[in-house]
Amino acid sequence: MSVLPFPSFLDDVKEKGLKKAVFEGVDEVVERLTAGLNIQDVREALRGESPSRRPNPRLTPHADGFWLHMRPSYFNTEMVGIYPTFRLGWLSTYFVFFETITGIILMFWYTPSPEIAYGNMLAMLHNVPFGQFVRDLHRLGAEAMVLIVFLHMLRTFYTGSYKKPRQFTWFTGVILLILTGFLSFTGYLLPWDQLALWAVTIGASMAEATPLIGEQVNLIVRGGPEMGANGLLRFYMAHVLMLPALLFVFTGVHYYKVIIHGHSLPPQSENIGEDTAKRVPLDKRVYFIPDILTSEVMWFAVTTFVMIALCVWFYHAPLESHADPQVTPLGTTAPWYFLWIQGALKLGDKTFWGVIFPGILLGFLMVVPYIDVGPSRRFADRRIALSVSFLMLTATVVTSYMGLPEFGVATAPDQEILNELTFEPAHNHMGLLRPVPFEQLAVGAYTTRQFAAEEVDARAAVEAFNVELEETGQLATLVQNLQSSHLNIQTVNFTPVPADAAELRHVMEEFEAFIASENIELLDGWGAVIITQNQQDVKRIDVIVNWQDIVLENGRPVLDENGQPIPVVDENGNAVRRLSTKHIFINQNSAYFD
Amino acid sequence: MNLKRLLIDRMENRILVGTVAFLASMVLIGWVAINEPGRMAAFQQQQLARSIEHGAELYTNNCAECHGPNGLGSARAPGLNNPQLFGVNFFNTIDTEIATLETAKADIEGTQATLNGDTSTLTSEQIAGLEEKLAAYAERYGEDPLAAIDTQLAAKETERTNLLAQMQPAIDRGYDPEVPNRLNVVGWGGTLEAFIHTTLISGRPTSTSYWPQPMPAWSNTAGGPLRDDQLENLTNYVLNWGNNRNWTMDDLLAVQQFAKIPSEGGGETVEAVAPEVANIQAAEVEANRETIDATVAEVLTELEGVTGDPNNGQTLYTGSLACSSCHNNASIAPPTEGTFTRAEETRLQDPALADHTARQYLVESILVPNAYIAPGYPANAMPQNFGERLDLQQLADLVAYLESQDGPDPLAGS
Repeated sequence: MSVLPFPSFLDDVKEKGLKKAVFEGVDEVVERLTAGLNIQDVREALRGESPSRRPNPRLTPHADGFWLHMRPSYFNTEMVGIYPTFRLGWLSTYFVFFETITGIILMFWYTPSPEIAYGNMLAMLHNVPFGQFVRDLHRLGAEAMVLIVFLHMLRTFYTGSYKKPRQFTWFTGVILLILTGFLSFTGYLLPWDQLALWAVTIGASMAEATPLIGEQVNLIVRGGPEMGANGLLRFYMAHVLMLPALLFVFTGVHYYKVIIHGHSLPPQSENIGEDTAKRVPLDKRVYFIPDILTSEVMWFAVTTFVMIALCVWFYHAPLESHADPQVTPLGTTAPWYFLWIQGALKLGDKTFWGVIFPGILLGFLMVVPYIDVGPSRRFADRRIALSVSFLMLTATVVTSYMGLPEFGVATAPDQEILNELTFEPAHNHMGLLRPVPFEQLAVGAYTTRQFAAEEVDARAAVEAFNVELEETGQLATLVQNLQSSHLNIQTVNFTPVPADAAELRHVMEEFEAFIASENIELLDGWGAVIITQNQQDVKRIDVIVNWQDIVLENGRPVLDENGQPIPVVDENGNAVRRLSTKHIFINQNSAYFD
Repeated sequence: MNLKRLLIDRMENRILVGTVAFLASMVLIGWVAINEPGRMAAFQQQQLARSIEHGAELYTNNCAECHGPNGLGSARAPGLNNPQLFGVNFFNTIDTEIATLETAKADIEGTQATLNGDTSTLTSEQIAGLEEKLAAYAERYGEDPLAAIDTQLAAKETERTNLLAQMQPAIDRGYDPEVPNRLNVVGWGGTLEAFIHTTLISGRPTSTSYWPQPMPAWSNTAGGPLRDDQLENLTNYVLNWGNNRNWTMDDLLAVQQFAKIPSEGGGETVEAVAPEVANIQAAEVEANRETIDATVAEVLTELEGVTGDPNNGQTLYTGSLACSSCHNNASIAPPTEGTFTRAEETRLQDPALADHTARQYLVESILVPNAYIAPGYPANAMPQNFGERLDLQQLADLVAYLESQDGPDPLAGS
């Protein structure tokens, strides 16, 4: 007879006593939550003991539970070490979830519109607790994921794991690599800063080179002829919906295939042409519960800790100044993982090197397992495949290097020097003058001539320079030039760098070294830095490069038989001097030294 | 079971490492949390500073030409590095002191009057209280407080007059010491930041009652060249002239030009060419026809002794007078292009202008726009006061410029 008018827990209490009834109730709940393990089973598992009842309850969660049904119930002991997987597949999956979670948090603070996106970024950095932290995690995770997925592919290639029956697994893997690249690339644009706009402009311009339908592809990608509001919205939708959806689908397919075929063993563990991944001898089985599970939870905690530690102490996601389609920064590059295409583009035809070449390369990667059908996974039997892979790797490294602005992009040396001294923080670097402490930016005019010849007395050198400027009429030109850029001065009198401005002095020495290193193109050149007070806490810094004009041909100096440049002279036979200037403003609180 | 290949083969060690890593992560997140307020504040300050730097760059490229490299203003635009913009009242201290003295004086006089009058209605405590008050004043200002206060007042008034005299150069350039806050002058109800920002957005149409020079609209939304974030940078830069600043009289005197209302004593004093025909409305033209004809004839005679410079004329036309704002296409007013051709070939054919010469027509149209209304355009549309705003030389320059517009008339044949 029930205590209540229907059967209830109280009946158990009445029948077995409170303690026993509660224990049994809890035990049942645990068994349901774990899909098969009761309290005793869990305790045994965590103690590293063998299961005390048969059939092995630790296999039930794999058969009955949702989450573990997709995990194998045991692994081959050969597969649980660092080698041969280096945990790269696991790490890739980790980053899929890591990026999803941090990305969803960031979505709360972001609006995909050119008017507000950058303001959102600033707000995230100065008005959202943990805003910078989560953004750093997401950005670092994105960069790491591209690298890890790429390394995962390399590992799979070198252990020959793409071979039969895993050809399709490899194929989906290449798709995942491409999706990862595009996810990272589309995310690049979202902060709407100069870095974003120009890296993506360069990347997206490759779409334009698509044969026949280039213009249409370009319009579809950017939503207009220029990257603007539509383009930003498209990149955003691709970044948060389309690409993640595809990524999840292909991650599912990829992992399903991994489990169906089993993890391929190290090549030397099997006979040639054999695939024993699914036949794990009893003595080589490492059960998922408890060993793999605890190991993975540990790795999860450790990896997360590493990411957090990196973002607390070592890494901050870059944010440059507001995107400005009118101002192209010097030395713009695509994101590093697309540098190889940017480098290839310097080889010639845009359509071939920008679209066809990468297309062939990626297409080739996808079909590698269907071309390379040799049964052996051992190095000795795969000379052609390995040679081709090293060739491709080398080509990637070389073309990536060629993608850097240092390679094959000619900039006039005066512009390069001015930029080197003044550029805004970009790629974690900045112009040399910016981090000079504000109090060392003493108002005055300083010249590199002070450092041109070390043995000469500084004061005398500067005095001589003043006299030279005055006598040659260069002073008037200089003052006129500065006035035309609205600097409120009537004359310039150079003085030695103050003794207590050590860092300014250091910059001037560097400046002199730059000019000296360009002594052909900047013949008899000198540099100057003029610091003026602009507002009570703002200083204006004018940087000047002045040199003797030389004969140029196609932008390269023409040399005489002695290897010396040929000066340009005016109708009176006097040397013609040229000058370039650039100015920046520094606020006391800008904290560029950080 | 072979677990040797697991990096950590003992389960309890795996659990330990995982737990330690988890706890360490929590500690780090806590560490971030503790530092967050400081970090955010530092970032905000740094961000504002960099915004000001960008604003400085924008100012130098776009604004310095008219507002001056140091923001002190020029004949083309008022100073922004200017205590008036920031509402600095140099009389604040002295006026407070004078007010205190005057209050004290009135209080003493009132108290004395009460004591000297009929005290029968007062209790002895009240009388004692009043006497105590007088004693306190005597202690504060001296034996004879009223005389002392008068002396001090006289001194303060002299000080105030001296201060005013010091300001005279600024007053000459349009500063109004009685309304030291620019926002009050224009009756602005919002913040200074909003005033600067919205002025940047929409610019200023030229207005004779406000500021005679037009300022272009700078915002993308108003058809200008700058994005909103750039306007914010510019606003921050302009506001930074007033940040944490102790304004001095020198700062006031450094300002080259104040925003002023020309009709109220500001503006360049010109020897007006024909004030007598200024501001004649369309309805009054017929009644004044004789004066108009006589004045125009007189001005034409005077003009013969002056050589007009078409370049200066163009500067006036497109710059400070902003004629070109309306005379640019045919929609609001006839276009500038081909003005002279049009005068000769079209206008003079009109019987109403039968006895006019082209120059006469141009001069009349500038001084009394309503004297002849070009067909298809409304009356009273053009400012009527050029007669009192221009001097003879400026008029000659303008006419010379218009006479140089002798190309084909775009309106011809329409």
